Amino acid sequence: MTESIHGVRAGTVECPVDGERLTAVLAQADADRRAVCIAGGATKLGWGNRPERLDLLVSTREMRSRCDVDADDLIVTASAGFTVAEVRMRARQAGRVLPLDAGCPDRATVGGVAATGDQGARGAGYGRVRDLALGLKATLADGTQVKFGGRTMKNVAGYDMSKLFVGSFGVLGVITEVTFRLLPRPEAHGMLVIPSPSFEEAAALVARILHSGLQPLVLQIIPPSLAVRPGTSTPLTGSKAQGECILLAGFAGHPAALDRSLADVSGWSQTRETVQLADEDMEAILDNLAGRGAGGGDQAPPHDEALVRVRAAVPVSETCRFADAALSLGQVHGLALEYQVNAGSGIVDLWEVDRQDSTDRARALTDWVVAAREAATARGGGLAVVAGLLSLAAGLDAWGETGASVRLMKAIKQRFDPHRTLNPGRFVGGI
Amino acid sequence: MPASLLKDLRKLVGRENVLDGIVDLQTYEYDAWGERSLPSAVVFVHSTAETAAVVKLLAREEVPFVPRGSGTGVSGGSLALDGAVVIEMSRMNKLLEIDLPNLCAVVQPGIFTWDVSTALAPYGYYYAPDPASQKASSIGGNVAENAGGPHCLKYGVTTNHVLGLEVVLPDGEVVWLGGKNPGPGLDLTGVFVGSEGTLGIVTAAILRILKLPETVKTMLAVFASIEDAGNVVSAIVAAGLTPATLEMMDHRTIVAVEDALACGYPREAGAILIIEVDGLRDGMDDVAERIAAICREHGALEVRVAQDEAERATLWKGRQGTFPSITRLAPNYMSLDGTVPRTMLPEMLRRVEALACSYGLEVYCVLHAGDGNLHPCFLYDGAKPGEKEKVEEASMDVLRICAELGGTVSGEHGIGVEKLPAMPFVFSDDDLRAQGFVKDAFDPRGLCNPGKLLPARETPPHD
Repeated sequence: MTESIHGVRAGTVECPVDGERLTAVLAQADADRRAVCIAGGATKLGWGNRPERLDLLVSTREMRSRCDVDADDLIVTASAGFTVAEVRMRARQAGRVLPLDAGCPDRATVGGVAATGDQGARGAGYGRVRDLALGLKATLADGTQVKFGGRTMKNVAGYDMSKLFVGSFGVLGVITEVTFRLLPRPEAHGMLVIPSPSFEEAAALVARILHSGLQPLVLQIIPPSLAVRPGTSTPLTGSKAQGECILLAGFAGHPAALDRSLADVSGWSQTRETVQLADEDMEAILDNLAGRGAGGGDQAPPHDEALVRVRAAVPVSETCRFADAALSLGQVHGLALEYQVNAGSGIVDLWEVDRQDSTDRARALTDWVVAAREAATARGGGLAVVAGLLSLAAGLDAWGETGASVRLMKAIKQRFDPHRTLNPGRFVGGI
Repeated sequence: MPASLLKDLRKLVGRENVLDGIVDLQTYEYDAWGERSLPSAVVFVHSTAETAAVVKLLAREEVPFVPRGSGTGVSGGSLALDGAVVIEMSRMNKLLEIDLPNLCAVVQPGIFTWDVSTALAPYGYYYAPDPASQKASSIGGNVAENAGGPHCLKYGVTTNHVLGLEVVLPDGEVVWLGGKNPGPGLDLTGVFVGSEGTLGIVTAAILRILKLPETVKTMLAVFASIEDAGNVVSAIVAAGLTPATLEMMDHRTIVAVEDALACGYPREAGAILIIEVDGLRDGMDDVAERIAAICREHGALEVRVAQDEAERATLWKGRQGTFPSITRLAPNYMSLDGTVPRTMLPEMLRRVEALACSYGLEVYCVLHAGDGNLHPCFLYDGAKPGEKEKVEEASMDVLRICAELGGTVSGEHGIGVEKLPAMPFVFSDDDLRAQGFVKDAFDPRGLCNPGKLLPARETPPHD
């Protein structure tokens, strides 16, 4: 594993195997006022700001004491170090689905996914990670072990601390175990590949689907370059025209409901070039896409050299307009960009295709990030840099402005981690 | 309350919007839990600015305050302890925006839950969480309590439907938490929902809205015993079917509801299930038939599918009227809302019945069975010496069993004052201390709804 985050090197790496060992490591570091950064599978170390200080990198990947699927109660409780792919496989063996679609599922751990809230294309149907984590265990900066939430959907005992910890980027504590909700395995899956001449036209179809009462699992818009069979350059649309962008509209459920959904969407799309994919193709293609977004892909260590990637969130009706605007801004700045648009969740991932070793690269990228962030913020959303921060001008915050509520976030951080031991300076507002 | 403070409050909101007469105050000294505590004043607010001004003033004077919606909470969450001032939110009841393209609505906190869906219905949308009190409860209260309801099995609870909140913090500052799709940061919306009014006051909420389902099928399944019904609940979910609701009633409850409302439940049944499926019409008949088949395999005496809207309404009338039908039978009642993993329901029900027997109490059970959320209701006469104490003791035993079986002490009613003693059943001292960090961060001076949700701590908050 890499020992550096955005060029800041850790003196030591620790991989505790259980909560007791983690407690000892953190308590000692906290007492010694040493700074600790946290990793799971290290797939998202490129997210966030440069750590202010870094003495020790703690990985949870060896924390693997339990992974219990309870098929009848539709839950799984797993130690932080299990990978998404491993838990997914165990759920599948029990006839269930783990509703996490994180990038790099073979390396990303469930602890890391809980800490970052990373969710991919299937998130349009699965929902947000914060709504799927029913409870968790964590170790605080001083080594205290705590547990929040539980094993039931309904639980209002005390503050909903699981929500606070999911997506908290390791600044409040180290997540050591998570209980996720599982879904029954759908009887049937199907996905349409719909070429579209413009984002505008794709957006119109997306809106129609979102307001139809159909329950899409996937509403992902991708460029033709990504709409290929995994590992090949064969277009998903076969020999047919590719269009400007491709909408993937996927559904799962009762076979009759699936047939109806696919038929409705085919009918609404204005192209005759729609292709329907079989189950296994759908899964392979979505798994491939999951590795291409902000949650993973070609971010293999060392991250310091990574191409720039950003992830924006905007209100769902603005998704396509924002993506269009951000890509146009990229052209203005002479950048070659690729994208994935989760039109069901309002998430837009954008990234540099090729590294241009020109002297202007840093400036062009920085100007573009700033402009794209403004476009997202103006729509009521936000934009985070999730890779390649070192390629951008120093001082550019990876997360952007957070608004007045950042003072509450700082106050919470201060109580949980008064010595700023955990991930110092890595998250929003410098917390 | 000092006359000068009353005067200042009246200056902020108008004379008629501050109550301090004893009779007025007595109207606000209780909620649906039933215990009493007299507020020092009641202040009606009409806007975010007014709310902020009132809170700022009270914070300056170090006077505690408690936001109040409709007072339908059943755990004492809106009770004014420590001479708190009640800030009455019911006048802020407007629907501010329906944003169909973004599938959300923005509302003020005082709006009745039911009115949100009523306003959305002409457009073909609704707001999913449906607590039994939805015609009287307010969104602000639902947010504070993270309210549930029968349809949570498929659609989740309030927190899954709140995207953002405008909040007046305990020092009077106004901030937005979350948004229609907010940028990164700690999920403050997530921790605020269910915080029982202890972290601040909601003055606007962005709610996720859903398309009304194309079709709904409601059925009644009748069982000889509550165990049979409990096993069916697990079997349906295990078969991969996700009904919108899986509601259960025990024999005593069925009789009480029939006596009060006569909605056609079989009086001799050991238990009934009200099962509803919704969604696209395609495949729905098949799903309903599969559920019926599972019921029959597990010994259902009868499975009846509502043939029209009137029959469906009648089935639901009994479920929605359950509480009043039971509670009219005795001077006092105690209703709980513990939750267990749904596969534990049969054992839980067995143990509740045995426990009631050992205390010599009668227990009525109605359950959001699909969620493992049970409402055992003990009836008693508080005028008889020792009765109340006995029921309280039995209740704590019930919650202890919920915790033992891997569940929790409150599924939807909240901790409030009522269940403070039960918090240690599910949380260690360290767990509770960590929750205290959140309270300290939002409300370092402890002025906002004091005495709720977290048991008193020995150590003072550090700041």
